[in-house]
Amino acid sequence: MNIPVVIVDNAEADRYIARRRFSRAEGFGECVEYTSGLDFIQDFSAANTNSPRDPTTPTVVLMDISMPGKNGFQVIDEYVSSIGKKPDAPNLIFVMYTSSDAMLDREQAASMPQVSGYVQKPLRSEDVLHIRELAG
Amino acid sequence: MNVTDLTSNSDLLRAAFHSAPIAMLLLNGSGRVITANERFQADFGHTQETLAEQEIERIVPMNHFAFDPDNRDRVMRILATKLSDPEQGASIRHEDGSLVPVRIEVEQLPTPNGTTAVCTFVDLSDRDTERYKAERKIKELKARNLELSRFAYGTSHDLKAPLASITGLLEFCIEDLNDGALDEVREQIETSLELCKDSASRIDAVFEVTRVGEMLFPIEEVNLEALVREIWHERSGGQDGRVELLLDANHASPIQGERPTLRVIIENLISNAIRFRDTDKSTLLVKIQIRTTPEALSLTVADNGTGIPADRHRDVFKMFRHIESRSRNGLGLALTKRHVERLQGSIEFRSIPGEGTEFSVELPLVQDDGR
Repeated sequence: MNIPVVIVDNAEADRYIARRRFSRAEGFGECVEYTSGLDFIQDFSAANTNSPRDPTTPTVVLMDISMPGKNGFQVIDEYVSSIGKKPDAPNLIFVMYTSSDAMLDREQAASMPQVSGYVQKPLRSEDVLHIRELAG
Repeated sequence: MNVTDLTSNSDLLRAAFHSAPIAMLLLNGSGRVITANERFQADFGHTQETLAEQEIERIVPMNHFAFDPDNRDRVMRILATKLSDPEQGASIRHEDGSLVPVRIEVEQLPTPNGTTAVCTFVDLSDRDTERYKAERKIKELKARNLELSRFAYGTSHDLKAPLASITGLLEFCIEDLNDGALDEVREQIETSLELCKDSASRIDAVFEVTRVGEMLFPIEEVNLEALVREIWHERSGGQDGRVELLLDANHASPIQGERPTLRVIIENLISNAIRFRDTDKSTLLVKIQIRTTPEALSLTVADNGTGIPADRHRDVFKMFRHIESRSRNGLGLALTKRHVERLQGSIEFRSIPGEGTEFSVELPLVQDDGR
């Protein structure tokens, strides 16, 4: 089964790197990109979206931490509190995507039950394999 | 025991009372002074003559309750409670009229004729000043420490991030070279070069902010109106949609100042006003007002842009805080504020999301005689 991927990152080069890695790996489907958490939340809170989301199919969401406006953790919190609790909410697998190796960031990711993984930039093929396993 | 009634030890006790190394008063049951020791007179300027029979509230101001001249017992009880409370912050009126902060302790002695209160007074003035200075210094150091660790985190993150991107792109280049995909290699290298350039100028910007304290520019004549128009012309070109400047310059001209510094301050304010425009409004309107008094210059830059969300107001002058996606390196206002403060001036802002933002800068002017 091909897992769709969402990339939320304000840096074009980082979106490109992720997009290329996922597109050349097995087991992943379409890649959708957002340049800000705001856009991501707006799109995912729309009741009808262009592509119907089957709540049972997982979608991987690669979430940058450091973005202007709301940071990645704040975006996930907001998503979970507004949409994530609804019964028909899509099954999103959040993976933090960041150049930061800071203990505080790793700890924060570990403390959030909605976050399934933490990947350090730049994204490599091994990371993509690991993410495919997370998605089941 | 009423001290003044003692006979056998009275001389000894009287000597002890007067030579005690702490200011003391004896009050009778109505809160009137019986006697004051030498130290009290020395510390607070009053003499036995001026103090005798005086009501205590004449020298120890008690703002917290109304006096009932017929109920001295009550005054005494309240006095004892109030004065013994270390939180109250008592003071004594010196003979010269000034108020001296003191710590007062009161001990009530039951005597055949009623209560005698033994009061001791410790002058806190020096101690207060030293403690106040120390507390302020600690607060200042804590703030600086916080700023330093934010700076370290911000620098290392903002500078590391492009390196991670460049690493990813170069790793692709190696893979692509193996596959002979030269077009991709070229594109990826070009992107990497752009990122290098951005990074380098970001490092320069960070250093500029940190080095502001060392900067010293010559004082020269500056025509502010011309400077503002020049910068506006540079920054407002190439904007989609209408941009309009309303310049209200009612000031003595030229002024004496540091031209490069004034330029940086005005540039930052104008470029922010232009960058954070509200695309729902047909015209970007920037109003700049310049006023001078003989001592000070006041500059206001107001825009009708998107405004700053209330929960980000505290981040406005901090380094590396990208308020929203149009923020560049998050350093412009931090730099501006440092320059303003180096010149002993002040900068503030007001902002309402959806309506606009107004920055006000006040700078002391250099007097013509170079002061």
